Amino acid sequence: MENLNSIKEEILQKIESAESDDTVEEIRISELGKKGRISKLLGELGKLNQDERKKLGPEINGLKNTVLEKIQEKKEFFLDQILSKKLLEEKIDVTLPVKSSQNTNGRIHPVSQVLDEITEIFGSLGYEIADGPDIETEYYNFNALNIPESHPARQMHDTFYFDEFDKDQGQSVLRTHTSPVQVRTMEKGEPPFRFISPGRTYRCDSDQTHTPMFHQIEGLSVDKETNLGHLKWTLETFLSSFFEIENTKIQMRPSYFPFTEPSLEIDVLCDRSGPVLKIGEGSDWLEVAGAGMVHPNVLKSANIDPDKYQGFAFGFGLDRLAQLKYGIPDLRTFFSGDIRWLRHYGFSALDIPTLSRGLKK
Amino acid sequence: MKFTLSWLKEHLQTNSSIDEITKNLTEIGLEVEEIINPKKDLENFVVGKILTSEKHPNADRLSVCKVDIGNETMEVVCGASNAKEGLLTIYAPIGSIIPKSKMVIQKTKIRDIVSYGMLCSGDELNINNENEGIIEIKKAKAGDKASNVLDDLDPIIEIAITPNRPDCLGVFGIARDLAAKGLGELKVTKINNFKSDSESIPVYTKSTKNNNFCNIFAGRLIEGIENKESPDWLKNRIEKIGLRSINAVVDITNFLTYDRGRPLHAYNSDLISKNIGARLAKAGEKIKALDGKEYTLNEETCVIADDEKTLGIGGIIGGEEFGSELETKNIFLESAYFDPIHIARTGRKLNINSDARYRFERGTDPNFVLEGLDIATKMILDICGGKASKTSVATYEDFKNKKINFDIKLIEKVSGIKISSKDIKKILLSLGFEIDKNFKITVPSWRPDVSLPIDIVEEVIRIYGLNNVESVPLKNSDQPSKPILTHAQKNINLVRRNLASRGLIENISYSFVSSEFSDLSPKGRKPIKLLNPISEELSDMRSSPLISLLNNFRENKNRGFNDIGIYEIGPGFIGPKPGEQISIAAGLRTGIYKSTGTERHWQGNEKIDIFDVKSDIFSYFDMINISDDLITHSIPGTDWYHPGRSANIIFEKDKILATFGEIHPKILSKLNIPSCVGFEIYLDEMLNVINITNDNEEFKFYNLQAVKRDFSFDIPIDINSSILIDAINSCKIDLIDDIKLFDQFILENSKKSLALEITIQPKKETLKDSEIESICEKVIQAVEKATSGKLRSI
Repeated sequence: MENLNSIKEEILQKIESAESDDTVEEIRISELGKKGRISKLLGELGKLNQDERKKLGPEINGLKNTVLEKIQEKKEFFLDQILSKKLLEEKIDVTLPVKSSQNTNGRIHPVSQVLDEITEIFGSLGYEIADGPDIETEYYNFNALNIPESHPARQMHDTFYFDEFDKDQGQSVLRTHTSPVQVRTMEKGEPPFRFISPGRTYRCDSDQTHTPMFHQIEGLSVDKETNLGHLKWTLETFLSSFFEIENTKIQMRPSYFPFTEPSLEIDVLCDRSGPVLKIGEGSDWLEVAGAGMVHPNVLKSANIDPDKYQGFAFGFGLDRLAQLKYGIPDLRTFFSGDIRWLRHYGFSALDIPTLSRGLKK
Repeated sequence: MKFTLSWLKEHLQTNSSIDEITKNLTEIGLEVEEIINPKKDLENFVVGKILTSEKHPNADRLSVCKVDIGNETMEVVCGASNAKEGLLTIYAPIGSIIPKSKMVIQKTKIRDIVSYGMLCSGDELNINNENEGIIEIKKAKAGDKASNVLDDLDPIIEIAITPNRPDCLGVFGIARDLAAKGLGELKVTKINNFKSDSESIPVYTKSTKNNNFCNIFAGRLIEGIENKESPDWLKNRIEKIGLRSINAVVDITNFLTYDRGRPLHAYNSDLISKNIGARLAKAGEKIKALDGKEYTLNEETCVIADDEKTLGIGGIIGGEEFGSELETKNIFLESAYFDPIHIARTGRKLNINSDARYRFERGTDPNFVLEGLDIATKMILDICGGKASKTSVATYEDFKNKKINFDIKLIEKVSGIKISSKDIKKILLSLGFEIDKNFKITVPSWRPDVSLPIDIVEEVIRIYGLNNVESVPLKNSDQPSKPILTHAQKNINLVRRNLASRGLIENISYSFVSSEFSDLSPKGRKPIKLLNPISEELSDMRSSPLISLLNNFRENKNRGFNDIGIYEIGPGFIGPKPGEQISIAAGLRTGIYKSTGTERHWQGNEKIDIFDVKSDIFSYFDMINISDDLITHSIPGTDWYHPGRSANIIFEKDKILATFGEIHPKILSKLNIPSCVGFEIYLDEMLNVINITNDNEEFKFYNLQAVKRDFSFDIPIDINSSILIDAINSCKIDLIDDIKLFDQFILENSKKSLALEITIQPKKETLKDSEIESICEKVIQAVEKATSGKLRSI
């Protein structure tokens, strides 16, 4: 008995003081190896009588297990030591910057973004999108829209002309508004119509609030009963949705456009008292759109019977809507192509506006 | 159109406040642009009495005044020469706003002396045009409110008149609209017809059936007048609205222009021989006009002439030598009706803007020609004396008022507002319309804009009030919407977001460029020029957005940005007719703005090459499932590019879907920009491909493991890799699932080595070695045959 206890003490002492994995391995071989001391003791058990065997058997086995455990423990200790050293050597500077993501480097121009937002809204109201050419004829830009030659309204449009003339269609011009698309689209189809037409428009005018090219978006709804009440609802619905405010208040004022009768200007409620213009609150009015009921002569131009059909049209400045929504001060900067401006005001490719997530980022 | 409140009240009996009047003007479509209301503006201003005035020690022209403002004495530095002791004037306290300049008065040190407030001139207070010296007040005491002692506080209102409302280019017309709105009663005064025994000069008009340029020409002689400076009331009227007072006769004609929208002209009749009237000019006829300029006329211009001389350009401007001066004793006063279209055309051609043209081209009241003449005559006689002759009138044809058959149901149908027939009648009658029992409406002669039933609707609802329109939801607007974008529109959205996701920044530039850019192409293209460009920099239509991007790169480079990646989706123009434009997505990468990283980075950075832009194109092709076997390269690309480093991507032999490459060195040197790579995707052509792509193919599972084999071929250096790939594809080996070119290196002897990985996908059963060998053999044979190359290793 004393013998076994002192062996145990001795072995544990040796393991405890071992200084390397190799030493531990040597201890394992000398104690637990085939010819090891404990293996020998186990081998000798067979020679004992049953009673002694019953008594010594578990004791020797216990010794074996304790030693094995301690050896494992010690071995793991040395492995951990080696690994820690290795891991320390493998250290790198994790604070180095990563390459910027292409997704966030790229930008969508605010005008494109706002157009996508508007498309979402009018799409949900059943409006399609109609496109038309940038270069127009005087016929489509003016005459078909009830602006005959020498009409004073032609002077309100500072028109760009080309040296190209067609005897039926007149001179080629850069369209001064997106309204020609109304006639072109209605000519091709049958009522009812519900569409918006966004696009580049051009006027020979340049100052802080005018650029020779800008974007308009026009809407048209023609059927048998659409009236001014529907126009008001449509614009209120659009503005509420676009500016993400509940129940935008608008005010309609009589105005004049040759292609609508009656013609109106649309103001939206705003607050100018603070440093930032706020839409939808306060007590001031801000002009945002022109609108009206499509003039019978325009319907006739598109071969639609004005006694049967009627409807409204409205027009916004697309750039201006972007300015108002995203607080962009100077219109001229929109087309300057300054990379710093584009990075600041542009949108990420993944900022896809949808009605369900909200139109803003 | 500007007028004062008191002028309006000459025609409108009203108790309404200025605020009510201006609010209602805007509501009925006469949009108020500016209100100058001195009474309101001068609320904080008081009368100040100058107690002492001493020369400023540090400035010759300034004085330092002690000013009694009632309850205290302020020290004010003043620059006016009339700032003398004892003077009563208007004092602007600290914090007040000067009406004219909108300047806020602050405590300011002026040459070392602190000035507490300001002494003001009439001009600064917006009450008259006096800007020499400070205003002098009589009968007041220090501390009185300025608005109580100044007697000239007539508010000035400026409104925007839309081109359809010539009737409101006179104050009377504005009063009529306000009266209809219920803001008071219109004062109608009828002038008695003049009786006279003396004859006028005979008049004529040479209007014809095809060219009725002057339907009515009328006038009369007024002789023995004493022309003079206008009386104060008249001077005040016209100066308040920004006109210059010239002499009584001219001022009266200007007054009628603004009071009744009736332009008149007064000629010195001593210079007129017999027969005055309107005729067309002779080609090349010249006239020196009142603006001091000489105009050369053509046969389409209407002139006013006697038997010998041209006296003026009809309805636009008078001749310089025939006007009425202070010394003029005898005048011929003209009142006429000129055709709006004729005036607009002539005015535009000669580029003359005058108050007369402005009104005639919008349409004057043909039934007011003679009455206007009489009113002006009476005024001249009252102010200048003299004797008026009979009126002489030449009329081409009688004016007939328009008549409209109106169904009052139309009002509700168009506006959604229910208005009683009584209210409708009341509104129309107050606007001067006449209505018979069948609701046939006679349009007043001053409303050239009203000719259709819908115009009547507008009149009624604009006066009734648009605020009565109630919102009504559009039908079907609460249904889930169906997709609304066309293929083309969807495709543009996809390209836009795809390019942005690759690090490119979207730009929108003007569609016009300078001529320096329009023919950048080394091969030259016919420029599409604007006839009237806004500047030389914006004179030609661009043939591609790529040109705008090159220009944009140059500008950004000059700001110090050398590494940029930009794109634009927009029109490129090919001709000056509608439809002669194509939709292009163009992109440009410069410096180290690569598709894999766009800035200097510690992991290394390389310069861009054409494969960056090629991958921009192909990443988009991947999105729309365009497989490589649908397209081919044609080399070189369009003429913007380096001929050895560019290509067109072709679909079905001749449809160019896209082009890419290094920008041509000639263009680089012309623009003085460093090497860069660009691409264009032709979006209209893309539709040919998009429409045939079927992306709903069923996914097929193969449980058998694919076999991969690498090949390496030595081929002549000028054989493109695409030839090699095409050769393998043309074998049409069903089991080849994928071909990857994974290595290229250049050998000596004008050869290069290309390495390929071919994936063979067994579909029904595992392939035997011999079957795989047979496939490999076919590949090798096809490549060797097509490229005259040799297999290097397998």
